[in-house]
Amino acid sequence: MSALDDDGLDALLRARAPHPAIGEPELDPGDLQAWRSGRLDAEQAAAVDAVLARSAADRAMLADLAAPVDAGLLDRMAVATPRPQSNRRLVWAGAGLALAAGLTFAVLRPGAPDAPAYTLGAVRGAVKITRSQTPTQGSGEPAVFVPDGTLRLTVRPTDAGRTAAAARAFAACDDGAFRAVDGLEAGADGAWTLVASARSLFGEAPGRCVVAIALAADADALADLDGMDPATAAEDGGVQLVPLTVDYRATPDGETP
Amino acid sequence: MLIQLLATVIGLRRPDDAPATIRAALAGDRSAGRRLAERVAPVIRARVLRMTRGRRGPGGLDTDDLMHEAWCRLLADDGRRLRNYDPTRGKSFEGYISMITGQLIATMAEKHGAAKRKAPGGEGELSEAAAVPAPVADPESMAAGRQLQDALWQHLEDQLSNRGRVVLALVYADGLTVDEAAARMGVKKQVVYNWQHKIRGLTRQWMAAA
Repeated sequence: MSALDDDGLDALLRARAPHPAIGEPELDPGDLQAWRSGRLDAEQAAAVDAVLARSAADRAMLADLAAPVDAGLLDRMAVATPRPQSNRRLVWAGAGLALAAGLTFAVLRPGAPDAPAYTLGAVRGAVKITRSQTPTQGSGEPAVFVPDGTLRLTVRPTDAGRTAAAARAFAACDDGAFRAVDGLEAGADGAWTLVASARSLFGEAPGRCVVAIALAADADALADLDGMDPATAAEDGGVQLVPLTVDYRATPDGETP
Repeated sequence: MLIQLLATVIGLRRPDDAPATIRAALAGDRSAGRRLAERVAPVIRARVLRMTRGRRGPGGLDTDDLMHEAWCRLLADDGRRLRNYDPTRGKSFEGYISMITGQLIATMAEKHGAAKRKAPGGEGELSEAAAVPAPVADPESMAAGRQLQDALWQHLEDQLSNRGRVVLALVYADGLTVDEAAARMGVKKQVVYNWQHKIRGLTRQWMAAA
């Protein structure tokens, strides 16, 4: 055979590569990730090598493990971790950014009871849904609502054993103050669901809006939130705030009617 | 324990800081929480995808929602499940997280099993998704694949170690670039280049002898 350069050899090898049937993966994804991270001993790693060399299904799983995880989802996961037990005074700097990113955050005061931790669940009624029914979770894109739409938003406790006794819903548009809104109801397993027309929440003018559900261990903690600036709110009480950022449009395409 | 410590000291495996990171994260260290999330998220996602095959899972939750749900359940009860991880039992932290995630998702699927209605657009419950057979190459390509397993390929498989065969499969059977193969293996590109150089050398050797 004539001598081939590297590219020629690569082409030859690819042409002659076997493509057996793709079966079920043999390896556990956790073990495979430990292999990728160099956390297996030599014997374990050699066993994984042997499987990967013959199993296309297991090699395909490497793609899932190597793909970057959505930054928005990592933010949500990080926020779900416990808060420090000491120095519970929350620094509010950056709260506006957190709102824009659709993150949950807490308003805490020393001595106030800790607010139960909640996370954004399903969001329904948006005219434009990205990858899931929870547009600000994972995709980082705001949910698009129009005045005639009905927003249905559910928040759920991260710990079923620790639920909020009181909750209130608020809305604000274009950096305005929070305004209390109606339509919030307690559901099963500590969940709270807000059902309201977009018009009643955000009015008529298009813009960037926030709808938030504030949760607390007692109703007193929620008394002073009405009129609060979402970005620079004063510290007041042990409250968990779960916001949803909304792109409020006159029409689904953003046109002025 | 001694063997594990020895293995770490002589560099056979990377020391695992998971227990310390778990303790810090559960004590409220947000930076540790973020590191922990970054470490477990790919494992949770791969486990979820393997169980759902890309379909919606229990309760109609999509992959991201299921990942978040599993994470919240791992953190529940003051992080009991995370705290239970014991590296001296021989299982990697990633393997442990995968196992627990599988149990949590299965439990969620059981709870939603009563509602066995099939949603439009193929969005069935997890139990139905799990019954879907894995993709199988068509008979024609299978036959072609068998024919392509010629002497050269056999020669390479005989001469290479398992790690070299992984590179051979990723780069030449799966058609990945060196960058992609390195990323999937979690190694530097140079490692893949080195194996590629060896594979080419073996190929030239075989061709010269042929």
